Amino acid sequence: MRSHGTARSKPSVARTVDAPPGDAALRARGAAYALFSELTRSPFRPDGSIVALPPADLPELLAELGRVLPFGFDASALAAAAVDLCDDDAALAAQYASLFEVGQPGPPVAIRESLVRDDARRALEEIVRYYDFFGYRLNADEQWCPDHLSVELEFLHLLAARHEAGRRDDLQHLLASRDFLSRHLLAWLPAAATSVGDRVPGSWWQLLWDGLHRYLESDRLWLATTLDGY
Amino acid sequence: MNEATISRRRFLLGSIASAGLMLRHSPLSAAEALAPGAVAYRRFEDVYRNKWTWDRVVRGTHGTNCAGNCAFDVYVKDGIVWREEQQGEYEAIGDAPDYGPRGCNKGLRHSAYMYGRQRVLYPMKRAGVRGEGKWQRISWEQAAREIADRIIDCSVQYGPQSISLGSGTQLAVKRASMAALGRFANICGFTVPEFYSGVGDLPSGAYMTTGVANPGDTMASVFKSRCVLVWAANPAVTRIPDAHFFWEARYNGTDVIAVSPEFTPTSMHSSLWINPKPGSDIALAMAMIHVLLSERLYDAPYVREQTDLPFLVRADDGRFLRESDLSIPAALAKRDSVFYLWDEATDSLVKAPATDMPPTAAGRRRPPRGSLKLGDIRPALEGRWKVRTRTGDSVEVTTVFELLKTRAAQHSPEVAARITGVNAEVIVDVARRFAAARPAMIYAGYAVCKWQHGDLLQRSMMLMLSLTGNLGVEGGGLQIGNTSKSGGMGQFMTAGVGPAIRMVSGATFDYETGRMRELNERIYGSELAREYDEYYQESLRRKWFPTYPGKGWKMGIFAGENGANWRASGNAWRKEAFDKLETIVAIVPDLGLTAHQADYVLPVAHHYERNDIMMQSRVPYLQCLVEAVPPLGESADDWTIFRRLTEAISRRAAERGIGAIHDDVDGRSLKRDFTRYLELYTMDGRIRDARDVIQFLINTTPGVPKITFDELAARGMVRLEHSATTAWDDERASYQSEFANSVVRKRAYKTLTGRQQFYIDHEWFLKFDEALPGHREPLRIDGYPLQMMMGHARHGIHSMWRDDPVLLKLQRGEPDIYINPADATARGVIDGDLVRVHNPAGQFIAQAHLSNGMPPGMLFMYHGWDPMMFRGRQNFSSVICTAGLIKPTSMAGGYGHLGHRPLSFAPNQTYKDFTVNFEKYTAASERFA
Repeated sequence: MRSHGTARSKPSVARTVDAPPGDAALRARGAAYALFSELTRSPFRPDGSIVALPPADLPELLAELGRVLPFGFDASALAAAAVDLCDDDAALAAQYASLFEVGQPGPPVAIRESLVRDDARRALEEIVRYYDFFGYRLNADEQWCPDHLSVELEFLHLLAARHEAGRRDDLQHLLASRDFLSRHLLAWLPAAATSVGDRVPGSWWQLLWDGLHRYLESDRLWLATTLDGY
Repeated sequence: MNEATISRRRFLLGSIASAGLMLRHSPLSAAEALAPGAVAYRRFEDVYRNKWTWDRVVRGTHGTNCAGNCAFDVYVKDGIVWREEQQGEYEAIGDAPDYGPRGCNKGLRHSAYMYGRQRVLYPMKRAGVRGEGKWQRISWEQAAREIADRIIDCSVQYGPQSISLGSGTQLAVKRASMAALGRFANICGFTVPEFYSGVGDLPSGAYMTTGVANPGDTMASVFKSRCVLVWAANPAVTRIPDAHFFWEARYNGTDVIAVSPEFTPTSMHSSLWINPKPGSDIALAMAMIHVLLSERLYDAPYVREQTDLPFLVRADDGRFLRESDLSIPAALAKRDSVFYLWDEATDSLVKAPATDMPPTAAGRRRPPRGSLKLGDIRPALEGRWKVRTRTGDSVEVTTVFELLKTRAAQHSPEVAARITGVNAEVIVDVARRFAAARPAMIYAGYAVCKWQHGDLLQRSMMLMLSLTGNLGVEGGGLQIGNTSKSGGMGQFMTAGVGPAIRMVSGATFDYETGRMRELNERIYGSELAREYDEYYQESLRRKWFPTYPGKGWKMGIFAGENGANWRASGNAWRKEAFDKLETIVAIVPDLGLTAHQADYVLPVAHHYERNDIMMQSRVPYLQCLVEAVPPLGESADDWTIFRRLTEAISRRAAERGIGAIHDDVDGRSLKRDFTRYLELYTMDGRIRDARDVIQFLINTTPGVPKITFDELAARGMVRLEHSATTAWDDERASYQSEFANSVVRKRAYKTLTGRQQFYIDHEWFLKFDEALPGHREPLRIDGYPLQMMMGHARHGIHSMWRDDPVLLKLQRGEPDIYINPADATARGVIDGDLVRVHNPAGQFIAQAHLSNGMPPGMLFMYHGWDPMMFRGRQNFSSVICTAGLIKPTSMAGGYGHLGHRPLSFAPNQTYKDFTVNFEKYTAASERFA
């Protein structure tokens, strides 16, 4: 990896990536973010309904991801766990709530970045600035939590999808993904994953958080390689 | 959770190969989301290149009971409150300092705190055993339905009085919220343990003296005073936006004299600090009264006209001389409210003008009683005379003034010096300074009310002010906190329903439900327990005070309060009452102990997430809370929560075929039809939301400018009408102007004697020698030498903001207790050690905070720390054991203005008459399972 010294000229956003991956691989990268966004989203809806977690076809989706992603990502443990999950969505939803949504003082595991950052307000401001910069707006009932794990993942999904839909030589979405990952998601998710593992070892939630963590690290490495020099 | 609708759905992406852009958190269409940005991104600094702008700036304040009422601007962007700023648009009035800008550390932290991890964001149902901390998130529909079923079942099986709706001060100060709660309780017939006496804030002594429980003017009146005794108050800490009035007054030449056992931040800025021992204040006040009397520093014309001091008292039985003593027809008619003076001008007995108060039921308007003007009468203050009674006997009479002289002489400065520890010369000096200043005031904290004999202290404070002609004078008076006229609020609570609420003193509620007689026996001995209980039961028997629900308390709904946290005798009450409830519902913004022990927790919106209004007499402005952002998560404002509950009650009653029940409230027979609760609550749909409640209150509350809520929301605050002076002296104002009515307009006081009444000849007062105030030793617990005192904190308002991480960094980071270094050394404790504070009632662990500001023999703790912040969930309320100390005279009735008067006269729950000890705490001394 090249140095990021100050003497380096500003990266050209028009530079072409060497050996760009195919459309399917790029699409898979974004789809993985969408998948993880969905898996980490609260299953509770304001109308009182509970959506199923995880989706019924998760093992197939994970298997597909593993085949198509532009980097290696072993999701077999997660896929196996999904197969073994009981069909009691309500119980799973209750586990989600008790881990991430209710508790004293506060939920046992943070699901929002600002709850664990020392510089919470600065972090939150930067997240909103990223969203504003890229025109990502939140539904009215979710505006209060732009730092929710699921929302941050959806933003990365958006960046990935834009990159996939746009010109391959336009690297701005990859650059933003790289920065947002390192400055935000990877600044707090690893600790959260550890916390999940400590509290519910061997659970679906540990596997999911662990899988997500590994995915983020893999993507970070892929971005670093892909953007080598930027 | 099988009640919830569960919809298994296919994953939105379908298959990866055909995955498009599907956003679930964003309203953007795929085309919008995929549109390229106008500016290319190269590195993170690029997102900072756009100037940060606000979507809107909203007016607001904080709906807490700090009584600050500070107008703020609230800055919103992308649906988030980012910051707040003090609104500096208060105008200057006359020659007094103006009120703005107002604010404090708590208010300026709120935009961050409201997003903190302590927030409860979703309705929750207990999943494990109580207190285990296992929760199940449920929908509002499920929560409302299940709670409604419990309300219906309890109402049908045990009567609606078996359900309490506790309102804390945090809710009560938000008028639309309080109006909603009151209307809900009134419709349902719940028992409402009123918070005022419940937290020991009821100024009983002020009420006994004047018929007004809450004397007080605006903060600017402090500036008008020439001598302010800041007594048992710490405004530098507890009234941050208003403390400048004291310091500006001092700069202007006013004597600001702090009276408190410990050296406080207020003491630091005062002209003089005197430090009586805890609980010795009555002796101090009576000694100063002795100086005023013996040196004839009193205002005789004022005293003759405004007070009962010239009234005649029989020497044989200590009772006022009444018309019924002199006249057989009057005796037959039981006319006991005509009193007599000795007229020096004619050397004869004369009826006191403006007496003769006919009996009036609680809440009914009394007819006017004529003028206090004495005309040609010159009432004697001193002397003894013989009077012939209706039976022909001759009895000796004297004046209250004479009796007071005798009582005061028992508290000479030398005697008081021994009791209080304050040098006698200092007592004399302060009394003279107080008498020489015109006007002079006593700015008294609510801590005064929290002693068992706080009423006696207040009565002696009133005496000091009255003797010097300072009651009812701008810049004078006993400053506690005026309460607004209840017109609009009461009208809203009862409109279309009538008064059907069960309001009861928080003290009697706890006494009944918490088996406090047994606690009294254990802590204070069987003799006190028996005597107090006999008087308590006698008062109920004579129907001087009501009691409900007795031992049939089945369900508790706690709104805007943390009832399990701050309680006199917390452990006993939790064990005997709270934990035995069949259903506990907590309506809260965060998960304090009350919520932690609850069966259902309903999330309530915070200050910037709701519409409401606030008024507080010390700040003569109507302030507003404006919904800057929608309630976080699934929280809702109080109006909405009660609406959901009434809707569910009506629906469930209809579904279950539950008919109307008969109810009896204080002798009034009522029918309560569950199916009509929603239409009653909403006034047949006319009241749709909190804004409609606010408009109702604005339109019906005297002294409030008649504007729309939108106008108010645009301005943030408006000056209340008829508040041009610093005293509430205009009858058209929104606050009580009783003193001006009496002092300026010569109207009789709402007391039995029609005067400032310092002598109370009720049989119980005579028996306990409380007809006049006098020193009483505070109760102590044998073997526990240290008095534990508490006060409001700088870094929290009750339990709110107490756990804020930034504010904690400004303190010790955990609950701490202030200790005199000598007391600490004697126990081998150094600063920062953990100590176990204990007495027979319980124990708690806190960090030792050594301070020379503490006198030996006293511990001090800023209150509000929730039990959840302590080891074993045991906080200071585990050692407070005073809930059973309902002094008999506080239950007296059948005597003019004394009797059941919610929010004015009621047994006050007190919090001071106990002692503790402490020791160094180590892991080895761990005693909590």
